[in-house]
This record gives sequence, C-alpha cells and structure tokens, in this order.
Amino acid sequence: MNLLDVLLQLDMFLPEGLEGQWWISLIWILPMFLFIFYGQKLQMWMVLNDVTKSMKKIKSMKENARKEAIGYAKSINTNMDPTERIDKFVEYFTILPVDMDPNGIIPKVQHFMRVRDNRVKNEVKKLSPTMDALTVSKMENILEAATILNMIFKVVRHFYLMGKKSSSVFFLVQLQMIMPILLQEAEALNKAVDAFKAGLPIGDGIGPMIVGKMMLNKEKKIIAKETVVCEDRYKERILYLMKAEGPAGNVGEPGTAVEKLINEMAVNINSIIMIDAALKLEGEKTGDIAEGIGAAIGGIGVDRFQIEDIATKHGIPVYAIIIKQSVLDAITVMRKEIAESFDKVNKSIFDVIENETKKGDVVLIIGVGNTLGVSQ
Amino acid sequence: MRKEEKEKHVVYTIEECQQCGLKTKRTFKLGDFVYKVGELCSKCKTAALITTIYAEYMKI
Ligand SMILES: [Zn+2]
Repeated sequence: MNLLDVLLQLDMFLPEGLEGQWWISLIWILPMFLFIFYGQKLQMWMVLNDVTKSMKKIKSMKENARKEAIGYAKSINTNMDPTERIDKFVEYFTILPVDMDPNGIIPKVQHFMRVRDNRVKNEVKKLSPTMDALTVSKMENILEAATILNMIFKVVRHFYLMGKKSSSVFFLVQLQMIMPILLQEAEALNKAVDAFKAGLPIGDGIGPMIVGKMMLNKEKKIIAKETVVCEDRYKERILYLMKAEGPAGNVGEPGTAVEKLINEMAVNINSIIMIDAALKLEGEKTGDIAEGIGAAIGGIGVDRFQIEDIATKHGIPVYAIIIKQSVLDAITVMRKEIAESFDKVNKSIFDVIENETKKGDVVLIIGVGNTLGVSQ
Repeated sequence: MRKEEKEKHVVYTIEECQQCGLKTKRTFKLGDFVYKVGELCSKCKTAALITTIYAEYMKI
C-alpha cells in the first residue's frame, strides 16, 4: 500500500461533496509529520529565542553597572583611567573553604571573607589616597554589584552556549526555567547602583535606621570592625544598642561584636532582640512586620552562627523582628512603605522588652543590615 | 510575556525640628543622610534633624 492509497482511503472522513479530493488530507497529515520529526527543533528555536532576549537584557545591565563603576571611579580621581583596574576587578573571585568536613568551617569562612574585604578595600583605596570612608564604601558596594552582575551574565552565557553547541533543548529549558529569578536579581543589582552612588539608605537599612535613632546623642564606641555599640536605660532595664557604623555602606560584624560584648567585656546579657529586613513571599506586602524567634541576620552565615552559638552557650533567648520586602526593595533606595514601618517596629521592640524581660535585665538590641546613608 | 510596568520614583528627605517638632519634606540632595543635622527650622531657627529618607513610587 503506498501513501496515495492511504490518502484515498481517508476519503471517507472528508465532508460530503469532497470525496475523491485526496490532497485535502495532506493539509493535516503533512503538519503532523512535520511536528513529529521537527517538533523538538521548533521548540528549541523558541526557547533559544526567549533565552537570547533575556541574556541580552542581563548583558546590558552588566555593561551599565561596569560603566557606572568606571564613571564613579573617574569622579573620585580625575587624573586616572580606572577602566583596566575595574575590568580586572569584576573578575575577582573568592574560593570558599572545603566543606566536606564542616567542623570548624565558620572561622575559616570568616577569615577568607575578611581577607577578601581587605583586599577590596585596598584596591578601592588605590583609586585615590585621600578618599573618605563613605566614598570607599560606596565604591565597594558599586563594585560588588558590578561583580555579581558580571558573574550572573557569565553563567547564563555558559549554559546558553552549551545548549547551542550540543543542540540540547534540556540545557536551554533549565536556563529558561531559572531566568525570571536571575532577571529579577540582575534588575535589583542594576538599580542598586544608583542608590549606592548617591549614598541613599536602602531597604535593608531599616534595622540600622531604627536602632540608629535610639543611639542618637549617646556615647558610642567601636566594638568590632565597623560596628558601634552604646548603652541606654529603659524602664529599669539596661539596653545595649548595636549597629554597623554609618552613614558609610557597612554591615559590620555583629557576630564578633556580640562575642566581644559577652566574652571580653563580660556583659551579662539576658535577651537579644534583632531587627532585620527579610525577603517577603510573593503576595505579602512590602513594609509589613512580623515577630519571631531566632537570629535574624542574612549574609554568608558567619554572624548568624556566632550569635546562635553564644546565645545557646549562655541560654540567652533571641527575639527577631523582621520588616518584609522584595530582593529589589532590599538593595534599592528605601521605599516609603518600609520607612513607614518605623513606628510599628519601635513599638514591637518596646513591647518585647516590657513583656519578655524583667526589671534589672540587660537587653541587647541589634539593628542588622547595610547602614548606607544612615548615621547614628 | 508580561508587559513591563514602568515606575518612576522621587526621593524625599524628611527633616524634623528637635525643638518644636515641625516636619518638612523636601527632595533629596546629594550629601543628605539619615540623622544628619539638617537645615534651620523655619519656625524657631534651630537646626533640624534628618529623620528619614525614602522614595515614593508612582506608575507612569
Ligand atoms: Zn522648630
């Protein structure tokens, strides 16, 4: 039986009056075979198109961040062309310690992160020897954003080219699946550069802003790297207030600071209250607050480990108050909704103090986050 | 694909007089930071304090 016979037999499915017109069947039989044999190619082409578009977006954001970094460096020191230095810098990487044997990894991670931070700072200071701490921190933050964007772009490009080379739709589909998250992150980093350049408070700075106000007009001292602490009284309790030193874009080392406070300065802390920005879930409102238990602090995990460790050893309860926001909100200029959570959070803090602590207790309050544009 | 929402924002600096409590809202100027001593209060001529800086977003 050849194809023509098959087509002729299909005649019976045709509407009345069209019998004998066998070629009409080709209209649906041909596309069917086309899709069977070339369906995956077609799908691949569509995915490739989609991924290419997103990749181009990330590329332009990466280029923009690089340009902004160069522009800002030029504005600091007009006599120097920083292009080469910054291009080298965005390729900078950190190899984290091996975690096959996780025992004792935290001090190692902390050590490597400190070395990295110092290296970055020294690189930045080379741009101009007379730079103040605020400018150094702004430049550091801008460079960090540019570096992460560069990294995202390179990983996306890797999977894109791998997919194209191996003509495997699976590489590309995986990339397409995570693309919305990558795009969101890239967009946030790209927009963050503007806030960093102007020294604006960012969403993540709400914790330091709240504690910073309590610290006003009090004698502050540096307790750990870029971290300040001061003492206060409230309803017969002794309060220790802690935040990163502003208005430079620091996060400080609250973990080390808490260790020092308890171990070296022998302060007998009864409770710790931590205030931090936290990622909201889709559907939750920006600026909403929530209370809970545990060390509310992000980052690579060193500070959180230190605080959890010392709190457990001394049996200190840790209370957390979080202010919800998206990735974008957290690293771009503070939104009005976040700033307006100030009074609610303040009330929560004093509620916790009044309800969860006794007279004569020592309470440590930590404003966690990047304190760019927020003094104390 | 979703059409991108365009948003515009203006950054404001809020100053509060420590004596009479008068609040003033003005657009952000480079060099402003939270808890910096701001401009003189228009009522009692003492220096006000920048209490917050935030962005207001509007859809365009
Ligand atoms: Zn006044």
